Amino acid sequence: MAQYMFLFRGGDARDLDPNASPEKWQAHMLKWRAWMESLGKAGKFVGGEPLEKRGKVLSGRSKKMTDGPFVEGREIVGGYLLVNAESFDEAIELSRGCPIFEHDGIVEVRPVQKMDV
Amino acid sequence: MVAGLTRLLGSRHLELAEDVVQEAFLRATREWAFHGIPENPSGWLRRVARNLAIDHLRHQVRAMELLEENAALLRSEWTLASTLDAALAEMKASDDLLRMLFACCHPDLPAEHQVALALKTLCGLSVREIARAFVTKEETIQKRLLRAREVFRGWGRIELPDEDQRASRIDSVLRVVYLLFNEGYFATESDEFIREDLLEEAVRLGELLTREPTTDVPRVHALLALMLFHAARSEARLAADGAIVLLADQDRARWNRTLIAVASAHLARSSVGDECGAYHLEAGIAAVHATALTWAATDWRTIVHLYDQLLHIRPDAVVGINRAVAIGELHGPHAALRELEVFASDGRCLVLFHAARGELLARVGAKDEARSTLEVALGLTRNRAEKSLIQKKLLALGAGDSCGASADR
Repeated sequence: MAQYMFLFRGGDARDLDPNASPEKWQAHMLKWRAWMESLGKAGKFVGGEPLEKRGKVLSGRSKKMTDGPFVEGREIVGGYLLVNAESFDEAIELSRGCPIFEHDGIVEVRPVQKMDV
Repeated sequence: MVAGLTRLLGSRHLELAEDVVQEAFLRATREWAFHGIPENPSGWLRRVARNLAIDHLRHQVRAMELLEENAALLRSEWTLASTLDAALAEMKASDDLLRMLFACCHPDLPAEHQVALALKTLCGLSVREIARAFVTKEETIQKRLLRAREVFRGWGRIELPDEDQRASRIDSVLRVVYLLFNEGYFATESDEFIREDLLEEAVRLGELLTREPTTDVPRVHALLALMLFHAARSEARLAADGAIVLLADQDRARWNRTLIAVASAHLARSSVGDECGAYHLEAGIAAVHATALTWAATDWRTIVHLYDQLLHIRPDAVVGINRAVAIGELHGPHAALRELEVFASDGRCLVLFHAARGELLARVGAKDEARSTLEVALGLTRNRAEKSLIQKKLLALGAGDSCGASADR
């Protein structure tokens, strides 16, 4: 049993179709909830948070700060999830249930690194 | 709602659940006074309770010890709101209530503690009301609640106990329902003589029990019969001006015949098997009254007979006093007064005792004694309607009349 992170990129229905009715978005959010609750019931849900759109980006040695993250809509990180899984393969399998794919989004699956130092 | 939240958060957080629900109701009383009652009052309350819980959890959740299966869901913004929504969902409310009721009636606690805890946390009775129900001091109830909460907090998960446990706990559960009903039927602290909301809640709990096969036992039907026979008379118990109308004077046309029919059906279902406990007997007595066309036509012989049996298994003052009153109808006031004397010390603090005694003394012509006894009753009661009834009796005495009715119990 190990922990894996799902990083959600893009797939925000509101960005893709700003004229979509609030009901459509609500319905979509319900799918997210259902997915996460199923992970919870299976004992796989460890934690995670959604992220606000706004942010600041600090980069480089000079720690230059800009408003951000202004990257192509598709790639803004909308949130993350931490899950328990027996293997990398299982984690990947679990990620397939994410509703983000309906809107062409991305799930990046990364194993949490064990630091023994 | 308290049951739903406690089930989600674990017994350790009972107080948080109570605070949240209490606050939601407080807000309701303030807002609804201004804006009127919303279309879906229950939904409104649930939403507000949910938001209050969210606020609290957002701040405290990392420090709170939570049930393993819910902890992660409550700590993440992804699932916090929806998890609370699910916990407070109306659909599971009855299930939550039943669970919590049985959880409160846990054998680790003494019987009185179990019942006090349930009445406080689930039925929302005040300490004063509970003290009255147990005919004991408020401090005693406070101590019991304190101790009960301590033990309750240690249990963690609120689960419906297994079949055997359910069977053994049902008596405590029924006692909770009975006392709740009693408080509604003879409301002590409120200005209303009858608290319909408590009556309904008690009946609802009784019916919930009948829907669960393992708790659908004859005793439950007997208790339901008893409650419904009494509830059937609610309309006739109060006059338009809020004064109490005693059983002898009630307009029986105003009795709810539908409820009486339902009560009779439950009474029939309760006579399966060889159980014949207190609830059966009390229901039987109520049934005799309910089927009598008039006070005079009442089958007092059967009532006295039932009271004899009831006194045998439940030798307490209230039963004794009511039996004495029935004997008064059957054998006259002198016989009744003799029977009543047996309960002089136990009944000392009961309005019922002094009211009944005053009544009987008036009937035998002992006006002065009657007057002083009724004055004791007057001093003891906290209920407005009851007070005014006793005052009327005193007035009638003073005018040289005697009162012809006896307590509606």
